[in-house]
Amino acid sequence: MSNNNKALLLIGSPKGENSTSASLGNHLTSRLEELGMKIEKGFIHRLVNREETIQDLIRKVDSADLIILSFPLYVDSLPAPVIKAMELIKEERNKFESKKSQNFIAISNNGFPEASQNIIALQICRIFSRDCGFVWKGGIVVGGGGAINGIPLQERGGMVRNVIKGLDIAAHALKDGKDIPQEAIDLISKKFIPYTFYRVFGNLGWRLQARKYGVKKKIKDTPYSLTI
Amino acid sequence: MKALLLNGSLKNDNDFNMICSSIVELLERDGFEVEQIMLKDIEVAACQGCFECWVKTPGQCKIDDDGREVARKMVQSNLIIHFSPIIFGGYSSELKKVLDRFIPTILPFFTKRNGETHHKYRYKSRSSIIAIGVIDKPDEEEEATFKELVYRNSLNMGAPVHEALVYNKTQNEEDFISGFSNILKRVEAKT
Repeated sequence: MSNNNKALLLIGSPKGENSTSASLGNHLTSRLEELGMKIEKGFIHRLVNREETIQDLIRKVDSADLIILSFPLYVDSLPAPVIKAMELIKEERNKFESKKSQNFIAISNNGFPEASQNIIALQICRIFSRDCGFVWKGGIVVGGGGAINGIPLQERGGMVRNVIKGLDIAAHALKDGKDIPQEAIDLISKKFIPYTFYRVFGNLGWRLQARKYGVKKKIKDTPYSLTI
Repeated sequence: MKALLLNGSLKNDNDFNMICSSIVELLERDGFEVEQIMLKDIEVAACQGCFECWVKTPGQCKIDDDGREVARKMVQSNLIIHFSPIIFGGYSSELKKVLDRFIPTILPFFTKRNGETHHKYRYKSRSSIIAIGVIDKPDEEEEATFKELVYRNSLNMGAPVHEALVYNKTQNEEDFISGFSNILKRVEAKT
């Protein structure tokens, strides 16, 4: 039986602890901690640019039994620093054959209401897991990330009850070294806000923010147009 | 007609130079004014996800580095070539760093397109995309993921035409260039 004592949460958002990626990852790791796992955390954007922090990233990955990568969807894929981290981890793992079995999962959230738009990013994570010799334990997709907006899930209340329930189910399975159950994946990806409502209030939100900065009338500016 | 070749080669990918030279030659032969940018040689900071390019300085990223200029060139090109080693089915971090900084060139507002939510376009005129992924050996899963990624990019970036082409290093280079030439003809016919 493999050891499954130590989980590493890698947060792939430039917003760090204030991100939706952190809200989701923190909820999962808090449950894993209650179940007896030790938790380590790393913020990818701070780890990939300097040699000493890259070594810290590699060390964190090597010592984990379960690696959790939580990130926002950027232009249909993972943010560039997260891809860089994956390139570095793969390069390191090419140098030796890992002796221990390590589990890997990914959590992708996006600013569009449809969770399904994260699927390509999850496929990339699954191939990364394969190429690094990790054991893929499943992927979680969350739509409507703007409605969570970096707030801890418990404080978000009933709107995200299915996300919370699904992550709780996932934690129990992962602690036992099992795949994330389909039931958990389905619950977490379930629509928690009507799409039309999200679009209408999202658009209102952008206008209000532009007004706050005094650029409401300039919000559709085209500074790179060849005609100006 | 302007073509912009975004070369996302990583530090050990110097063997891609021949392929890129052939692509540039073909584009020029067809009358394109071509610019190639070796992305590993320019300074582009990571997108901070602040959305200030939408609500504070509309249309422009607050980070004053080469990323702004690349975004400008992307908007002003008729054709963008995404050239990259295929990394786990996606783009290299070098190519992705400039694609992440493309978001000032679309609007924050949501709209429904192809049954999904996407952002509205900021510019009426948009670039077609040809994505070329280089892979060591054939890998169905990675190639399918790469092609699907390019399709999704075309939806979000509003490319009038998009094509994805995979070059595996075991393949004859002349065959690949011939394939690219055919794709280029299709893109030119529709652009």
